[in-house]
Amino acid sequence: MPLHRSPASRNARPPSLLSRRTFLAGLGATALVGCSSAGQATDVDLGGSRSLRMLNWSDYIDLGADSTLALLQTELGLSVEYLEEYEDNYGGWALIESNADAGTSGYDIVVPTNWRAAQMIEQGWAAPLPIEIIPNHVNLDPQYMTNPWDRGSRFQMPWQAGITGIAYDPALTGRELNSVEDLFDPAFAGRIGLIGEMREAVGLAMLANGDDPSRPTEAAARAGLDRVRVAVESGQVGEVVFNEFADLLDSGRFVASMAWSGDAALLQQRRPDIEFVIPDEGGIQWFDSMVIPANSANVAAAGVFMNYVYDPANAARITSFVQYISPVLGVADELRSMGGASAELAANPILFPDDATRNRLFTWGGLDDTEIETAIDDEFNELVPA
Amino acid sequence: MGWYRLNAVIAVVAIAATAIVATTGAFLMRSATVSIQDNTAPSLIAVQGLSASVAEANSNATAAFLSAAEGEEDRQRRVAYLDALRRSAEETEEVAGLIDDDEARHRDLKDVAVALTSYSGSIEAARAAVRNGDPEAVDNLTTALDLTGSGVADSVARVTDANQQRFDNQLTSGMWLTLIGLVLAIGTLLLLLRMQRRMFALSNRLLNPGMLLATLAVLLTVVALTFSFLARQSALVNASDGGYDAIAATSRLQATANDVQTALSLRLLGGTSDVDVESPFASLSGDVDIIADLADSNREQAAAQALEVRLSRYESATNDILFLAEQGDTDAAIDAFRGSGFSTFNGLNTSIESVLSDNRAQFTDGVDGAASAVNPLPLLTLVLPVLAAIGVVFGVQRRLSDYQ
Repeated sequence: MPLHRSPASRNARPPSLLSRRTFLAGLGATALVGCSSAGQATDVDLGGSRSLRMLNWSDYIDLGADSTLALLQTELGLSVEYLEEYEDNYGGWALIESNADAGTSGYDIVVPTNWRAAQMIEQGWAAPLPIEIIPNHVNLDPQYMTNPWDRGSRFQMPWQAGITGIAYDPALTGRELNSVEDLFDPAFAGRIGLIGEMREAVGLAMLANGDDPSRPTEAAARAGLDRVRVAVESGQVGEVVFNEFADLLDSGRFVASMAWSGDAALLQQRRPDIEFVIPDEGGIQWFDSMVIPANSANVAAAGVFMNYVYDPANAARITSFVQYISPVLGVADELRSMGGASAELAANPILFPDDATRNRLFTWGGLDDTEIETAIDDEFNELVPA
Repeated sequence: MGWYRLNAVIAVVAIAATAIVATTGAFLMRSATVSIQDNTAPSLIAVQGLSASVAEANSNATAAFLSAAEGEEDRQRRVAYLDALRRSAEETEEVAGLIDDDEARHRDLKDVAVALTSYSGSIEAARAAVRNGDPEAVDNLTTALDLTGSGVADSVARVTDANQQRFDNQLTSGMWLTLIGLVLAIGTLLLLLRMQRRMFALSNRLLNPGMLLATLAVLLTVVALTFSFLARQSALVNASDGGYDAIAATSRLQATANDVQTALSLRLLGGTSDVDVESPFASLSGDVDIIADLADSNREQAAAQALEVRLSRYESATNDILFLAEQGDTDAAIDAFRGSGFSTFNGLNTSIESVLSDNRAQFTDGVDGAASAVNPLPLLTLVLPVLAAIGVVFGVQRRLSDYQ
């Protein structure tokens, strides 16, 4: 989920100064070619079609001559039309929605965030994964297999995961921050960033209220929303932001902000003094997931693609580029074997949280009544300036 | 012409007998199939789910307890326990709504509901005790776990047996009457053919339209009975062998894995369990082999292979935990249990659920196919013989008129 935009704010924000691709260009992180690929489904009958159309977020895979995407196409003999047009879970959803009713989907793989993937499955828009051609499905970290909306991960395979926590500049705050309550400290009024995703912002507010966002009730969600609304309307929140929080922290405009772990990790590479913490109350975990639309004409090709990116060596290459949490088992070992900057990533607790940290992470569970959740979503989006 | 009239009367009587017997058999067969579709099959699935849910509640409750004993309750295990307990209650209600007026089974399910209530109360008591550092906390937990053995497992086993017995009975319901109807229809068809052959030989006349209609109607009755009967039996046997047997093996696998996890928690807590930790792995492997043998598609075979990998990881993680415990490093063993132990267990458990979903779909599809096969049969076995009878009467009158 590297670049989020709400519908109201999509065209209003300046482009991020921190491009993941340009930032990593000097790290040599993409020069990781020639890794072995165990569990490849090379003998799969693709039914004559070797083309694939994938809708993903921007900057979510390395591109170019020696990139993972180029290697994948060469090794698998696939022609991948890779579209970085999933701008957020609203505009991107509109693209998925418009294709759902078409005879044949325009996409063979889409990568919505977990709660949107759940909606796709619920609405019957997702094809069952062709697990017979994804032997690397066994490399999926079991923690992503226990979602009540897709136990065993039969309809989706996570692409990358992340944590929404707090990033801050200790020199500006003058103290350590370790609680969601710190974001509401009047001492920081007007210099706090709030992430423009309802389930993350309201989820963190719910944690501050002592509620559990993994099992949200309407009352608890509304209490969280009220907390956020007061903070925005009182001027405590300087701006509702997406991944530009990193630029605003870097420039000193923010002293602290709700933050995405991957973007925070990237920021820390040039500003090691910036801290990223999972609050004592807990953090919000999310993941973006590969889903094959039910009306895809190239299900087998999609399966072959998924199998490739679930090979730990290939997944490690993607991780070293995007710096989010990989859902693929064995990636840390692969990164260590690569050495250098990649090996350092393997020791990064933001990319590889330990068990104690994982126990403090909450994934939005969804309200029983989806209409109420949509209403809360709409009310939240009214707080996001156009 | 006496023989012709006599044979016509015999044919009409045979047609009437065919209609009565075949329609009764078809009604019974359809009724049993609809009952399988609406009640027995969902009930069989829900009962298997109930066993697995209770076992899952146990394993998560003990793991949450273990973490609480170490200082901080594992929230995810607690949530998983509550989810499994909720599912257990829902599945109990679901089964109760599906078993019609079987009083003995309703009593069993009432016992299950009561046991689940007592169980959840005991779990909460154990939870409070461990928070307060009460040394009796582990005993409270063991008491709760015992409740699922004595209060739930036995009752669930009785409900399962009753369901399977009902399924077997429904599989053969109406079968003999339908077969007798088929024999009668074939006999009638032969009689009609014989009548036409003889008449053709005597008068060298082309086919009688009425008799032709009757013959065709009886022939269609034979075809409909044969096709529906074979299609229904085949679909149900396939559903049973490929679907239900796999569901039973998969559910057994899931329950055993959860029992192992529970026993492992208790061992780390210093308590005792009726279930051994090490030896069930042979049984688990055996069930995975059964599931692999029953897999009749590439998808199911891939799922079975994934199960094998996940089971192997779980066994390896469990062995590591046991090794640490045996070395006396309980803290490290508990850390491993909460980390790789539960991660690999979750991988196995959710993979099992994937396989279960596919098997349930196969079982349900098979039952639906059987229902589709017999759905129009009662109407056909009634209408076609009536047409045949009309044809015979019309044919005889036509023949008499020709003769005169």
